[in-house]
Amino acid sequence: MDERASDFARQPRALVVAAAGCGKTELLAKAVAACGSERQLVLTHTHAGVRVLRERLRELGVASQACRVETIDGFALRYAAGFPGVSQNRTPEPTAGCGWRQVRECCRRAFENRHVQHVFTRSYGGVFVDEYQDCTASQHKLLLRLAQLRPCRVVGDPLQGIFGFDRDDPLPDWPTEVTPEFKLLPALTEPHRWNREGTNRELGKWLTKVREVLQSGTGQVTLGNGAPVRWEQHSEPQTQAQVRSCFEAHRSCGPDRVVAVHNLAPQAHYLAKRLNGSYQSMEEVESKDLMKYCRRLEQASAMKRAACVVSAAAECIVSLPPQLRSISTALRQGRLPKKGKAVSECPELLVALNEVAQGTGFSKAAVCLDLIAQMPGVVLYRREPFRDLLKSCRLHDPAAGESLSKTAWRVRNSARRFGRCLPRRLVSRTLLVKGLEFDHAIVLDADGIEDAKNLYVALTRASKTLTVVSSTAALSATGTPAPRDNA
Amino acid sequence: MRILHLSVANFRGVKHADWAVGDQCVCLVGPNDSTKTTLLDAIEITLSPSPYLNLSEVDFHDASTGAPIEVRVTIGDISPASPLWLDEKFGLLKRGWTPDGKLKDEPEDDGWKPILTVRLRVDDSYEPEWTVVADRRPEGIRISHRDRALFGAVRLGDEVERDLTWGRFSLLSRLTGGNDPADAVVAEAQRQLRKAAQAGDMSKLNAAARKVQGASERLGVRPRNQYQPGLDSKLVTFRQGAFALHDGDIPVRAAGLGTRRLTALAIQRAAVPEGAIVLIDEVEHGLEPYRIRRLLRNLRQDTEKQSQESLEPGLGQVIMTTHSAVPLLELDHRHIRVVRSTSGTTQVLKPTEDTQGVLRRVPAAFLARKVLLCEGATEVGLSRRLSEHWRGKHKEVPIEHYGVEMADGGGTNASAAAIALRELEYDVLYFGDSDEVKEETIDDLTGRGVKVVLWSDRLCVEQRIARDLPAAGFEELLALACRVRGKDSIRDAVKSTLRISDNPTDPSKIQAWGIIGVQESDLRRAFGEAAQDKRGRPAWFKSVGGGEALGKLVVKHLASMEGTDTSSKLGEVEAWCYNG
Repeated sequence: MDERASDFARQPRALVVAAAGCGKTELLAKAVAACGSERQLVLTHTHAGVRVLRERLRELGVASQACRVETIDGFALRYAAGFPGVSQNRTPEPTAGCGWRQVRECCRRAFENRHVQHVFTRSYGGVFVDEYQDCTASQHKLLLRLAQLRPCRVVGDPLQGIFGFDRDDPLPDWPTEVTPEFKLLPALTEPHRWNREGTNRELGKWLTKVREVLQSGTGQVTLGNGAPVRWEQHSEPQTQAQVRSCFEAHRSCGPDRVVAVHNLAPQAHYLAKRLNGSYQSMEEVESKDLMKYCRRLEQASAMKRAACVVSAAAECIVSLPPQLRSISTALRQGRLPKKGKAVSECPELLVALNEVAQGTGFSKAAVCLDLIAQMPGVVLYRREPFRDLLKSCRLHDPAAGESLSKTAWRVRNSARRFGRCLPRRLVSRTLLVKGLEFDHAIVLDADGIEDAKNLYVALTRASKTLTVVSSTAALSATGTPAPRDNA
Repeated sequence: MRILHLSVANFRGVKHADWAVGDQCVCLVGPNDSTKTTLLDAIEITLSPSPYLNLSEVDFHDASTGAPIEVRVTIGDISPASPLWLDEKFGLLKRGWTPDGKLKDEPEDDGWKPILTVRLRVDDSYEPEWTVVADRRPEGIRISHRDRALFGAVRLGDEVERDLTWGRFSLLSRLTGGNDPADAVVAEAQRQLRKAAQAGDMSKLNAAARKVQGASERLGVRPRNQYQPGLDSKLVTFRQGAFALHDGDIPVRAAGLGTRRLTALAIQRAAVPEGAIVLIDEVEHGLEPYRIRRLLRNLRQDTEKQSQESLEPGLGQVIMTTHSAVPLLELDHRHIRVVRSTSGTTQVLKPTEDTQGVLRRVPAAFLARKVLLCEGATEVGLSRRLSEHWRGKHKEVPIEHYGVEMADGGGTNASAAAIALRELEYDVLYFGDSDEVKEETIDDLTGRGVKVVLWSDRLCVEQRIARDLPAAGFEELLALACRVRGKDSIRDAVKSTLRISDNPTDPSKIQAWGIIGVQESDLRRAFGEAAQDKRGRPAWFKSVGGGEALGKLVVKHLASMEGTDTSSKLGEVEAWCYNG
């Protein structure tokens, strides 16, 4: 690996294709170390990716001065916003996908300027890019521009390219647009992740074969027949088998980290609810639901606002305790209960809800959410949006003239930057767990994953055991990933 | 490194100043309190490599902390290799300087120079805030004192002792390679000193220490080892700057002021390889004229040599002030800046080429408030003689006390020089002949605020005086001319002007001319005309000496010349000199 890394570091432009768990990050880190005193720019796509890379680099003893790790878009924004005139950047705070595309194009424009080039070449001796398969056309173009100024070495795996499908900024075609731009070095295929102590060596070998099958684009993945995979055959309704598998893993896996993968977001939330809060449902980074709650709170007033607080909480709780249910019913009728269990058992909550209805700010909404979370019988299965809503309401400063949605955006953004601590039991989607590593994985709707890339990502998340819930033992995944809105 | 622009707000005497510095060797002149030194101070504190800044109320304009002190220094010629350009430092705040000297917030064109603007802001909290700023990022990015040191700004003040020692932030330490190796040496010296002290007779001290130990143990203190006397490094005061530059056994700080300053300057320049920005207040201070001239020649050549290799950045810059004419002799108009301060607004004015002649002939004029600009040498001599006379009249107060300096305008260039000096906001009196000066030039001069004093009737100074002297005086003038130029030459010139053929017996006598039928008034006119350098003859009085001789005659007879044009015009000049 050391020799490969130093060879990689010496290349002016090179690409290494790396299968999941084959030491890609280690290659990057060692190549950075091999560059010596020349500071390197290490780029990836997500803030989670940035954190992982930083951690790995630190573990491998790469000094923090040796490189700067950031997202491609973060880098693009830094230069585009740094020279707004030269870049013609009009989007200092992009949020949506197309805003980012403009930022990248503006950054590329700025790099036509000699002075901007100088700042870049003075700052970095070379560039490394991780997860190159996730680069959109505009990112690819920008990186090729940087490659004209400094050595540019990239790693990626086209089989894990499940992002993208922004119609305005599609992924470049890997064989015709990406590969020809780089010198292709030998691929990383040795499944290091499954060769470590305590992991499943057989699973690693099997996944190498699965990869070949999926790459061919025609194959079928066969479960059973000695495959090191626990196969749960389900019959209608399939949720029963899914819930059973999850509970079983929850009981048997102890402190290990378990992920249950389901590729439909409402289904993932529903399952987490069915699992009684033993699993948390994972939110997407931009957390559409959190934003939805904030908008509703902002738009509602008086008793309707108090009702919004309770209904937002209800969406994150497994089941409402009776007193909360009666409050919720009363609020839907535009009032607070005057008598009954709610009045005797949660007077503070009623006072706080009344203050939400009376007041203008959101700080009392935070008090309500806090009281709800402490009520006996309340179990959260979507802790993230609940906590973030609470935090946004608490932090929101009506005097600062910022909307609650904006505050929530900042809360979310800082979580994105500083990292989230993931629970040990998680229900999630391939898109959200790509790049993350777990001890055990349960692929809940293997029949529903019809494309090779998503299936490969789902199957490669676990290092110890893999459970697949499906109706047949033969999974065929020949389709392409389904189009979606860009996140 | 080179400062291209400076702006100052609310700092000491400067409420507001904007100065496009530009050149690499600049010398500030101007009257006292014109805030020259304040400009240097503003640059110094903004680029200071020290982490501290001691400012007090009086450093705010009008001693009022209501408006914050704000200094912006825009710097070019920063080496492309400088760490200042890193994108995590200030690279993304790079600004542009156009070839015609305009500041742009971004370096839009490849041909523009890359620059950075450093801002120092101090508000009523007295806490200085150093940032690198651009319009696109007005809050800026903080710049540490270490990074400020990269600008290599050094000040040559009178207090150079710090520069001659290896202390914290001292330049000798920078030359040694940062991080004070002197500290280690000092520590070692202290260790040796402690040892030496312990080797002496310490029995009484030891006894006392043991007594203390016993007493403290009774109070519950438990010493780890044993109480004993020792030298406490904190109580030894020579920690910082214990090592100083010595010449033999004598510290350089004990040498003369000039030597100290020159040595400090040498250290400063050596310590900043990228080309220091050297600030020198009163460059002449402590130096003999020959040392000043040598220093300036050296500084000038260095910056000029570097600017030829313009592709190679990292040039230095020298910004100095002076109250002496000696440095000006080594400089030309391109290097000089005239500083003016009016009700808090400081202006730094750049002389045009038209001032070059005056600068060469009378550099001291640039140090005056008022310039009596004489058209030529004759007027200079005349005025000089007259000024002695005026001094007697004004209780021995010379015109210099009123900030007046006389200067030779160089004949035909004189009016242009007068305008150029007026544009530098000197009070200017243009004193000369009316025969050569065009009407529109006079209007132009007057329009721009130059006081113009010309002899009436389109006469030159010789004509005017020949006409206005009393008879006795005129005869002395005749005699003077004959003595200087020879009787024959005077006779022939006057004869040819009068177009007569008879010879007077003695051309120095009015009477002799009368005998051959020449009226005194005709003689006076002919003499005045002949005295000029017309028709290929050299002029009789066209020199400072000639002018002084004329002046001597005029002074002698001034009492009896009341009502003449000579008397009234000289009165105007006198009144201007002694006004204000």
